[in-house]
Amino acid sequence: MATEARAEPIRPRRDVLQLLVPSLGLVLVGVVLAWLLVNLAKSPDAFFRVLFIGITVGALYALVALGYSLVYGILELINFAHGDVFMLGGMMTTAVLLDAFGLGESPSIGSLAPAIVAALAVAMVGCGLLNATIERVAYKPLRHAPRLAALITAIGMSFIVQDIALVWKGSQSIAVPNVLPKGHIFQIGEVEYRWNQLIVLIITVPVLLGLVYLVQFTRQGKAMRATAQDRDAAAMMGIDVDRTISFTFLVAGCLAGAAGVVFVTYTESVRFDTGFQLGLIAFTSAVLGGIGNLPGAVLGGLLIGLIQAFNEGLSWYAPGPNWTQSIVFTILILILVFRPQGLLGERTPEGG
Amino acid sequence: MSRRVLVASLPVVLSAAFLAAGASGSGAGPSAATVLPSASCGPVFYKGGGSPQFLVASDLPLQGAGRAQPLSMVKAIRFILEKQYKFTAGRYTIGYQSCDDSTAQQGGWAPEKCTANARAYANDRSVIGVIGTFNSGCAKLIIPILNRAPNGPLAMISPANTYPGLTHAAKGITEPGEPQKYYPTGKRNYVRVVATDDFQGPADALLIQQLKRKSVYILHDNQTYGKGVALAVQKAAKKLGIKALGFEAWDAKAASYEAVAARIKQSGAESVFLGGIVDNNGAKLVKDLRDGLGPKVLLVAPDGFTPFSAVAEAGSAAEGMYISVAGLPNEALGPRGKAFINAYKAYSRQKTVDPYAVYAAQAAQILFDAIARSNGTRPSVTAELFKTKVNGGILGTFRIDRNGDTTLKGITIYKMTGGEGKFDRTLYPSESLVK
Amino acid sequence: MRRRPRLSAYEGFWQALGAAGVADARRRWEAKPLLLQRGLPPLVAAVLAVGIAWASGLPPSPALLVLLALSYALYLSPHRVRRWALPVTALSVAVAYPFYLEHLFALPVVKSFPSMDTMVVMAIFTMMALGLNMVVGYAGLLDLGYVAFYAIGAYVAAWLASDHFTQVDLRFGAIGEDTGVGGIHISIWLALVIAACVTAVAGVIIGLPTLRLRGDYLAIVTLGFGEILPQIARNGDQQGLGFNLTNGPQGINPVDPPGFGGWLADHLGLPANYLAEQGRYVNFTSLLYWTAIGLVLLTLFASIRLRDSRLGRAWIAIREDETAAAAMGVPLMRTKTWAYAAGAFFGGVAGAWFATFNQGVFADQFQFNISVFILCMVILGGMGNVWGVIVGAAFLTYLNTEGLGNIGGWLNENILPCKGGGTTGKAISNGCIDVPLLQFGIYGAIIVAVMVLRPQGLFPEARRKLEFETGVHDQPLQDLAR
Repeated sequence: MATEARAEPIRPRRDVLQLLVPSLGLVLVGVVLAWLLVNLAKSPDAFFRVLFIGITVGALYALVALGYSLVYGILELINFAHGDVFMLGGMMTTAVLLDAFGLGESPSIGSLAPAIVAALAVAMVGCGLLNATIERVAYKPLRHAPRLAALITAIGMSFIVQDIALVWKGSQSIAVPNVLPKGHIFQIGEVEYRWNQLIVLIITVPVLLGLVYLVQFTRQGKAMRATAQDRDAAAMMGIDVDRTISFTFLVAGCLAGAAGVVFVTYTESVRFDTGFQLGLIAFTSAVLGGIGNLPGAVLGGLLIGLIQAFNEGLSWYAPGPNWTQSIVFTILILILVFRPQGLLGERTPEGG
Repeated sequence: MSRRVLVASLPVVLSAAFLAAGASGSGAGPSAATVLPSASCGPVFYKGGGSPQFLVASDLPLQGAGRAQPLSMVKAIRFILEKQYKFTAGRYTIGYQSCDDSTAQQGGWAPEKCTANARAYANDRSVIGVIGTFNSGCAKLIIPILNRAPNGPLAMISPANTYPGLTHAAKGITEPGEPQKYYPTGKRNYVRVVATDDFQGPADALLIQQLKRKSVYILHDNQTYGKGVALAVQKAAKKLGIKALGFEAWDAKAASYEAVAARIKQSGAESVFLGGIVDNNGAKLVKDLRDGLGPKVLLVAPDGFTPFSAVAEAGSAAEGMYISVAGLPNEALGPRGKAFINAYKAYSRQKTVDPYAVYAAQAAQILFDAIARSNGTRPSVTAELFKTKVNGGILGTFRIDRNGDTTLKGITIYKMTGGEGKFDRTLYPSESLVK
Repeated sequence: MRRRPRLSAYEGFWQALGAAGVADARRRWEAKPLLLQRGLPPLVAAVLAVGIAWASGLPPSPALLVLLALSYALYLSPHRVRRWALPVTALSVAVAYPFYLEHLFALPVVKSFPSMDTMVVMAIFTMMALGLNMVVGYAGLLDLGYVAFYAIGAYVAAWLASDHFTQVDLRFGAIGEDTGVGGIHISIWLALVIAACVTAVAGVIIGLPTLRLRGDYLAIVTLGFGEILPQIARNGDQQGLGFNLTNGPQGINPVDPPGFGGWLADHLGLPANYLAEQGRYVNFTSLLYWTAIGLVLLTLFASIRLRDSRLGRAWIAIREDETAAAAMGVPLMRTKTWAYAAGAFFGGVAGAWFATFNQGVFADQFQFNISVFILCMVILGGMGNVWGVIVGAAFLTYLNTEGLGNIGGWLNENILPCKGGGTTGKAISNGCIDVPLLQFGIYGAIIVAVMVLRPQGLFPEARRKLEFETGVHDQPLQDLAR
């Protein structure tokens, strides 16, 4: 009896599982595709409208998710404070747009462009520095501590950052007027693609390309990748690990700041607890794509944006906004059951 | 070995010193009123001579995202007590403590805080009345405890609870056994100055009918208030022959409602009802709906969407939206109400006055007047509370009926025009629609 | 690895004494009997502290003296006595708490000792933390969705002991009067057991899809369940599900109070209905408190026995190195599933007891925040060590329910020039801080400070402490494989 139990995880069951799991997965994917197709056939207008919304919101998630992935890749730390740093970036943006530039509804391009650039500069620098400071205060002393200790300080820092925003801007959401132009770029039937949706991409894509360049082609990026791969070996190769980690946090903070600007200008409101919920979704995107994997984070973000939009926006047997959270997480769980390493993750012992 | 001894003795020494120092706290002489614990309650607000004979506590969630409204209520109560009553109600001097029924971790009201606070009020003999709560769920827990309080039921007056079941039964909305189950002693001890959901909902449905819309899409914020009103609208719409094409929640924390708008558009609904409070990302919701649905679809919201200035943050999207208000909104109050608003603006240094502040001020006045008429015991304050008749008060002329509800039940409809709510009509839903 | 020279204050003390001319004081002192060496310094210090306080007009309260004497006696007793004397004393101090609470002295900074209500909440969260400790501390599975178990336990208890399901009218061992609207009313004790079992089954169901996952992938799946279940609770009424399962945001209330009913009350003198007890010391809250203490003891006992059992050793093996454990023949799937089931069981008990304590269940209660809160207790207290977890849970719960407010009040009264300000919405007005506004930040700062100062937790498990000091990584395999 005892020997049987011991032998259990090794052979016989795996074969069944290995056959069953992928086929089940295929069936599920088929069902989802069929559902989408029926919706497309029933109301192509709505389908494409929702598709564009999903891509835009997904791009937002991706931008935040990247920050999680960067930090996770290098420290294996779920940086719970990241979402709140992002939120603070949004707060800074409102300060720049409303208090410094005094933008009203639908401003001219001439007054909008410098305001956005200024907001980007302030939010990116501010959040970068803030994130690096958080790392210095809360994570660096815990370099050699159990991993979960840093998780708890991250949670503590998240509370502190939220409280800073609460004291600074109060508990109500700050409404930002329509600053981005909302006219459509092209319109086919009822479907339109709008300027504000494009602007999200205009800011998001260069930031992503810049990040890819930084990580893939610069010395600093090489150091980051090396540190992520093996901290001790990197240190032995002469890489200043502490500095590299600080730099990573700086970059992640800049990303959060940029995300804050995009978020506030697109969604037009921000509140002190915006970061917590959005951070949760963004972190989920990062895991969905394969934790620590940058393209994966983007893919995960887009996917979650699309799932949300399809669920809330389509009408044929879509469960609707009541159930968005449940749908997102059910799909996440299913994907992880079928691909335990995330969508683009590699099969490491970590990923089973 | 002995090193460790010395180190180990250090905490002992420290704690001994601390404990001895702390002992001083208990040495303070007894005062006329026993102060409620600072774990939940702020310092006693009292500027009269000596120390107050009685305490009034307010029980509101002061932490988390929804704290703006409770906070304005606290200020209003302080204003009424300090400026209008000068800390006295009839023969009695009154102090006020603002208590918090939320926790840092929960970021909103927490049941364990509600019950703990309630027991603290009940057991503190100097507490003569409680103003609160903000959340109906919290009231469900507090009312029975105060009802069983030693020395007779302790009076409670709410400026914000709209769930009907706390005071009366409403078919299809309240549960079996309500409201009796909240009053274990059989005596009532709870009154409120806000109209309940079961009146406002039918009025909104009536409005939709009068504006010749044949279908409605109902959204709510999935909280007790929002869902309560939304349910009442759904029920009344059915009676009036308006098709309810959807009944769904909006997520207050969502980044965008464009997809929801797309879904509503496909349903072909001619009107949308937004059951909830504007603080739950309401302005953004209005923007995205107007944007996605076009100008023809009617947007209707209950008085959770006040003050109008908060709705006006949605900019041009809010234009033409209808908002129903139980009683009177700030902009249309009588002379006493207007006077209060102006004085309160100066006192709180705020540009806009939250309607809940007005309700809180009215509730505080009613409670202080009841204390003034009473003989200084808990049951007598409770009894006096039910005899309340307000003539030309902040909210107008009304009384408290035997259930503890306000008789101020006319529903006023406002239309957003030029960033302000303009009076549109007053509706009195018929008995058959409400029942 | 990191051996900093510790105890420099001790060295410094002797050096200072040497400099002052007392040449061989240290040698002579260290030659004295050990008991004297151990016993004298704290005694002198305590007498001095109390004496100075007394002299300056602050007579110490009797409770303080008793507590000091007790801790001194424990401190002096030999290890083999202290091993059992410490828990026994702690337990009796805890059990007697309602009787001397009113006579206790005021604490510095946090002012009051926890009230009875807070004590019950502390005990309930201790139970949850102990349950989560089995999953996180023993088996090393990061669980970010523990609130799901708490929710299931609470709702099952509410279904079984309230008039929620008016379709049926079932009474079985229930106490209290019949309100005449029906509903399932079974004895709360039975409801407790059923809630725990249902939650354990839910734990297995939640555990199943996660079995193939490791590390933080698993964490995110648990987080997912922790988000899905509360949403079901919020939507679970006629409109959302087509069947009134949870009564949506309105919640289920009132939940029946606990009690032993007529027969046991008559024959054993147990309270028939907790709610009916109105005594000064024996009342609703204190009875709930004593029962909660009993439940905590049960959880504690199960925790310790499980830890030392074959299963517990398998958990620890998985925590230390999953691959090696599998290679040694530990059945991963079954072992992990049991960890979820056991953790969920006690989460369910705690949730059910919370429901009856609050007399209600509300969908708003079950947020991700609570999962994080319980996780903080486990890690801050000292993962894997039950005593540490208990301290962590009690400490954080106290902070959350009372301590933070008290700290704010203390700042206002003693440090700041506070006059009639307070809750005004601004961080500082009239010299007062707005306590509820800053509470969240203070809370975060305390958590960060504790973790940075004691990264291994307040009372780490011996094995972990060793790892920490010798620098063994949590997951050595990961680095190799990347």
